[in-house]
Amino acid sequence: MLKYLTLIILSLSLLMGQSDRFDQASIELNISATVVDFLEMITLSDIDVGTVQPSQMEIRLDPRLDQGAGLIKIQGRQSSSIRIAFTQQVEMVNSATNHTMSIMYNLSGNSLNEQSSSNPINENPVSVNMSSNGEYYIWIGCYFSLAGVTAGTYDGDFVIEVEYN
Amino acid sequence: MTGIRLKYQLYLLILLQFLIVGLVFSQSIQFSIYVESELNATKQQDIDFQEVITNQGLTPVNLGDPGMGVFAITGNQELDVIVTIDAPTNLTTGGSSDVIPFTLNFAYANKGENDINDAIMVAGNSIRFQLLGRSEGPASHPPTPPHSGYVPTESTAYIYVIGSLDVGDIDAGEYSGTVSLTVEYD
Repeated sequence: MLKYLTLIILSLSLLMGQSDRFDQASIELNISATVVDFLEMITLSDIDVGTVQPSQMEIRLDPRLDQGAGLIKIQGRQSSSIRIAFTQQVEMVNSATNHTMSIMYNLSGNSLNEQSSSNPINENPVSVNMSSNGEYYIWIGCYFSLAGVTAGTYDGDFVIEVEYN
Repeated sequence: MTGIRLKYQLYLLILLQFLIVGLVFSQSIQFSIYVESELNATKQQDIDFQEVITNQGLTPVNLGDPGMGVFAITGNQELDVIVTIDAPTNLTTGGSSDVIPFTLNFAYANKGENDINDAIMVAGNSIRFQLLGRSEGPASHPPTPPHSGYVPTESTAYIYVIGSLDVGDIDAGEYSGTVSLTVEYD
């Protein structure tokens, strides 16, 4: 009697044991973060073309020689390679007359803060190496013609982008 | 009606087993099965710290931030659940031994709505709460177990997973980890 009873209980237990447990649940979610290296640009000097005389036909500011060249300092990871891209030609607009004037930018760069030994940047974009202190300097010169330009204030944006290679 | 038929079928089954072996006993066995309510957990949203900068330091994802993680738990609204969350202490990246220390916090909202204004912060990594919070205190009677003809009303509670990273001087790249949630009826 006990043997058969055990068999029956065992068979019922097996049947019951086949069911899944619905009173518990588990689930996962992901955590993610994209880490990028620190990179900052600081404007140390704006471009200063000085006073423009009416007799001048053009303005040319050499980034390696002229003190009026703009200067940007890039700070980032030490000795890393960065890529610099910039708008080489910008249309400046006279806000009063809507006349435009085309300005060409040219750059030189150096891992040291020495304008005279900076190298002309002839490629756009260009890849350069930061110094062991994580610094790179860019001097910004420009050229524009004054022929046929009406008097007034001209505005336009020079855009420079820097990223790690 | 269905229950009576089942009982007769069970008696018949037991009777047949005894007949097969040539013995008949006038004895019956009574048993009952408590059927648990179903419980489901789903992921609504991962935790995304998006872009962080090396040496940025403590970087939180707070309650209500777009990068907040969200779980949804659906089950018998009359029952309590125990939620346990397991999270890594660091986020890791492939190809580097650098890690980002991670601190997890979480909150739950059990008012039946996915609303952070209902969220209650949790201390520790485990919490027990009513799947549908009762505003008038303890229940007046024990929950009715599911049975034939009765399906308990379901409700959904929400778990908001937040936390902070401590970003030091580490290699750039994609860092990740996995948070697991286990929920069961109390």
